[in-house]
Amino acid sequence: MAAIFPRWTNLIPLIIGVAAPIGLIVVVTGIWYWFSPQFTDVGYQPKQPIPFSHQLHAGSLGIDCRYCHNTVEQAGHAAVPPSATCWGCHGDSNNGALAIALNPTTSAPLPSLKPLFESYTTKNPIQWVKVHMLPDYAYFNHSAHISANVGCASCHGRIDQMEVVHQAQNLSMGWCLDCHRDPEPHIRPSSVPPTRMDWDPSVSRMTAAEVDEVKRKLDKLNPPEHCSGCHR
Amino acid sequence: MNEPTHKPVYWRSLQDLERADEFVQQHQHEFPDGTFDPDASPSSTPSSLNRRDFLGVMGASVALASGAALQGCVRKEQQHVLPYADRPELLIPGVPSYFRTAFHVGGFVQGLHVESQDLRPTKVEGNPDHPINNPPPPADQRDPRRQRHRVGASSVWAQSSILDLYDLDRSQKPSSNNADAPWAGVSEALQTLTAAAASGAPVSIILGACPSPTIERLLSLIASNRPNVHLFSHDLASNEAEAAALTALVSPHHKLLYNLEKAASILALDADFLGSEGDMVRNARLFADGRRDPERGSMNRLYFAGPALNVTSAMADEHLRIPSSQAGLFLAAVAKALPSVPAHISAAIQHLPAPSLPLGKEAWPQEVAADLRANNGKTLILVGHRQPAWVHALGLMLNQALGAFGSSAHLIDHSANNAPILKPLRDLTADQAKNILIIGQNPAHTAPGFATILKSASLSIHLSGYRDETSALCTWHIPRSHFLESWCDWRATDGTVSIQQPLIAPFFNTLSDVELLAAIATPSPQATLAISDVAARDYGFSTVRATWGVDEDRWRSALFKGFFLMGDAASLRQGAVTPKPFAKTDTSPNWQWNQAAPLFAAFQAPGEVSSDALEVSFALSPALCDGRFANNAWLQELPDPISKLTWDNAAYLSPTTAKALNVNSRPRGRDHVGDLVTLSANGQSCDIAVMVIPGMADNVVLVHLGYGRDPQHAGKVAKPTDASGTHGGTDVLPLRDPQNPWFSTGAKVSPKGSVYTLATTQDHWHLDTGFKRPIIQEYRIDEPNLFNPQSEEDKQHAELSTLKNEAYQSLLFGKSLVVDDKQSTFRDRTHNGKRTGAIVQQWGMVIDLNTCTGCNVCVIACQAENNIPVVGKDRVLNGREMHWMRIDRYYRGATPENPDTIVVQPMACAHCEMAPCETVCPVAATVHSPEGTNDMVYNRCIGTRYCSNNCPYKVRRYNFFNYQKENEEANRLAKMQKNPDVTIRFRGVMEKCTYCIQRVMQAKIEFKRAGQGYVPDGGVIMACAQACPSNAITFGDVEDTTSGASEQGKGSLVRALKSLFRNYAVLAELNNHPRTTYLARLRNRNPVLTPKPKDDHPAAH
Repeated sequence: MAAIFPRWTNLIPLIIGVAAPIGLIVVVTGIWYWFSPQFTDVGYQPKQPIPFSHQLHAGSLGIDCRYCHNTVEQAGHAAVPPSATCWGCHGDSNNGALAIALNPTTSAPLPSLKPLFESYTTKNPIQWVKVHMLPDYAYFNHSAHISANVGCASCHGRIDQMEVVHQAQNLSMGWCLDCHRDPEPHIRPSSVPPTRMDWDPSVSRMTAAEVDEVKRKLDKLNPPEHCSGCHR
Repeated sequence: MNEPTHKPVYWRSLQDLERADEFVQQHQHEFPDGTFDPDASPSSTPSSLNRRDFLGVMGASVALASGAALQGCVRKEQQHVLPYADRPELLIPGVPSYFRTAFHVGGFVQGLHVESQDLRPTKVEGNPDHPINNPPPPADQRDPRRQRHRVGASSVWAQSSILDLYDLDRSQKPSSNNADAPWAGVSEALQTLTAAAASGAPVSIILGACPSPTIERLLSLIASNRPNVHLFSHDLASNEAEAAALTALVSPHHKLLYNLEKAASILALDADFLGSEGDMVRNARLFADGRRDPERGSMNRLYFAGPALNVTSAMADEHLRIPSSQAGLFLAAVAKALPSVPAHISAAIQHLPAPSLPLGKEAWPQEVAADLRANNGKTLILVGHRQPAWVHALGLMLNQALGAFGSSAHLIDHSANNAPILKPLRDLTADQAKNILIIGQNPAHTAPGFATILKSASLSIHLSGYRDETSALCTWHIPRSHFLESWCDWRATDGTVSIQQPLIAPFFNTLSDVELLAAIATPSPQATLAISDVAARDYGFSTVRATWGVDEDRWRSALFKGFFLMGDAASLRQGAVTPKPFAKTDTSPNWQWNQAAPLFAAFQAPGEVSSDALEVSFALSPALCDGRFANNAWLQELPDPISKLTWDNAAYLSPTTAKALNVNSRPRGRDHVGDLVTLSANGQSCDIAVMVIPGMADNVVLVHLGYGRDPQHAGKVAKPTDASGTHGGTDVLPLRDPQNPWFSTGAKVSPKGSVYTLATTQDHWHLDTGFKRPIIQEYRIDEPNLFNPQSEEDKQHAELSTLKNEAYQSLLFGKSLVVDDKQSTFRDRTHNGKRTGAIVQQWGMVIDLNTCTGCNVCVIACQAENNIPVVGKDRVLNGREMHWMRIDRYYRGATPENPDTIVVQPMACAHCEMAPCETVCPVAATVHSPEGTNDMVYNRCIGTRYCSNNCPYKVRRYNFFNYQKENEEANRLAKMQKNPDVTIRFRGVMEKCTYCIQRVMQAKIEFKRAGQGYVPDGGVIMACAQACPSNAITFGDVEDTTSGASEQGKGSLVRALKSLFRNYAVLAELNNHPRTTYLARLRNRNPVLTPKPKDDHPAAH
């Protein structure tokens, strides 16, 4: 009887046997890596309507984060400042002093700050692009973390070194829980404000009193690890 | 799995009592048959789905879903942050602010405390400082633990008023003769009216009840020295009969205020003082105070005489089912039976015939009289709003004779306010009605005969929130602002004046009562201009402010508190020469008893009632009032406290009467159908469905007002059409007799031969009563050793209460799991792994069935707080209603004709320590927290509904459709009401009570921020507990032994309540260890009227 299939087809089971596991591993690894927030979200750096430089304001000028994000100690949101806050420094003041946002020679608004001028005069908001996007069902509260003295840098990275802000951490639930299960590396002693960017417990040595204070605080801290801690 | 071996002692419906096989089978399933049937809702799903269509739809869905999913994985859509250009001072985005304002229904004022999320009002609460919403407790109940949980309560109508604010069906434009008209025309019309008043032409102004200093001031300006300006009042929710009696016997400026906590013996005569009548919030709180601590001594006794079917009758210790028309005669019989009554009483009542009492109830007048006399000085007789003025007069006489005044009742003298006297609307004559101004209200619909007078008016102007039946007959309609959009002030019964402060600018171009009256009272070019130009309309504030001559500091402090106290001197008021309080308690009233004769002369012997000549009794709907809240979907879907009917009204009949009339209502499949009948009374008739309600008086047909309004006038929610047809009930207002609008005899019911489907939830979510232990525990207060178990039976009962029923454990787990409560790992406050210094609080709840009236406020408060959608009548019929909290109503007694008692039981997720739902979830979407709450993780839920199937309390609700989206499509404004701290649930997700976890977490964060590691007792109050008028719900940390400063009030209140003997867990034998437990209901029965059965002991109920 003539063969129905040619001889080379005998290799097909072998090829499938070898290729399918490899393919499966590639797919699983691919999804595990390329579909994870570590890959998709970290480094997200959208273009903002105003090329606002945190490096200049928070870094070089050393303005405290809370000067602009002033609700962070009282509210869940560390609100993006209203245009009026920018205007406090950049607007033309009543006594005729030179406004920072104006071209010193022509007194015309700097083109990069045009959205600010428009917003302040028309009272329409500036359309900032959201960088750190938690899902709507996760209720993160900034004030709780600030009162525990978790540094801004722990989640947002070195904002003071970012010309354009990008997402520094993956903000996944597992990442949140890592810290909630072991908050010690991120809790600062009261002598170090949360907004200090360059503080690193592994580098800066704490005094014995500070170590003791953090230990006592940790003992009472009890960050939630259950679902309703963040999902309501 | 549990065969019912006997007829139940407690039952919800006649079918429940009968326990037919069909009923038992149906209720062994979590959802009634057909709930999952896609055909059940043809409006939302294709009704004929064949295989080809199904595959087509599925294929497309898969393709779309995978496309969307891939995109979703790669990158979320770009989102924007839009900060204010100039953020208002003190506004912190995401942190709610609270404002005090005020609200009234029928002149019964409540102070409110309204939450505003980023400047949009989202939740209404009672003002905790207001003497109506949070009256001070009696002196012997100043337990510091209780004080921590005493907050401002509110009513169903106050809670749901927030939804009316976001109602797109509200009138948005003025109209003239039913056509849109410009505001300039409104200015002209008002100028014409003002000119008419000035020239002496007859002008009639019709208002609702309006005890407002500013409105009174404006009315005085308009009407003073103008004999042809007539002021009328019309408000079905006000107490017109009592006002008439007080006007005759004392003065028109006197009002009645009750201190129910001081009354040991209370007779409610057809009065719903705990439900829809009067100062319901204050009365319920103080009534509950009179029975809150029976362990510490006495408990009040409530007699109810009337046709029943309201929460007050369910609360009564003894109830007499008589028609409304017999109630007055019953009171006269009580007066006749009283020993040594003053001569003016015997003279007034001597011509009154004896009441016809039901068989076997002949001893009532003597017994009630004896009880009232025995408690002299500690009694109270409350006469219902629906009773005529002579019954109110008799009630006043008896209260005075029994020494109630000065103790449980107070006459409050409001005469210092010089308020103009408003005449009742029925006094309006046609020649006074040339020019008519109607402020609010809907008299063409609610006042019999008014429509004809209105049509004859040459100029009629109606200010109204909706283009209603009255607007349609008026020459001008002006849209009216919501109370949260406008300034006003209101004087409560006790004289406290609250400021109605707006929280938001008017959504639509609307006018408030004060603005309209100010434009007439002080006509000026500016006011005329402002009427036509909304931007210039800022004089609402200045008009109210002008009433008050106080300096800015006192004004602001009043705004902050929400009110001027009754005792604040009247020098506050503009132009007051000598300081006078707004109102004072009249301790020695000048009773004019001889003026009572004309009131009694109006008495007409009521016709004998029988099944051929029924009494038709009209009552305000506990949800829709007289129809003014008809377009509120929350209220339409709110189950009636007794009948559990939603979206419709029905002709309520007792089982005996229904049998005599040969009509019935019964379940059919998953529906409940009532025979459609023609109800005719006073020469009018309407078609309405019958619903048989045990506990009704015989030969009475009771109907609720407010339903069946034309959607063109009331709004599209008032009479919606869906898969089950057009519903929204029947308008019974035309049936009323103008002379006695609340009840009349001689009504007839004749079957039409067809049926109507009623959406009642009374048999939904049925707890299997085949278990040995009762779901309801109810004791008589005269039980020996009730609070101190001595006998073997009592001890056995106490042991059962501690959840150690080994037999059941063997059945469930194959072995006995004796869990010692004291050492339960579920309640370990230090059980937090590594860290030892942190406290893990253990949340729990106690609901006191002895003070819970079943008034439904908690249900609406929960709906508002937790973003619970409305599903519509056809989904309610399928058992798909979404209320997280329901109130189960049980009857007790072996016969449906004469149930012994009615008990209500609020039921929500009990947060079991050993929760059956958690063990069956395949995806861990419902899990336990270390704080003892049973968490629901919406994002994990895949909708298997196993948890719901395994829940013994039937408290889980499933989103069969995307209800939230449907609600939003129906009204795009309503999403502004949503609580931003609670997730909006999507289709296919299970949900249930979370113990308001958003409030718990917020409180924890706040107390952590303040440096305190835990929430002290009273630091977090649930939405249901906050709204509860009777303070029946207590939430807190069950393991808190340290809260409170003094030794007396150590520990949490919830812990103290859980240690009481009457604390019990529902279905405790399942070993679930629910965190929500109940305090047993106690009845203070009259031992003569209801003798104690010999074999009746606590454990045997």
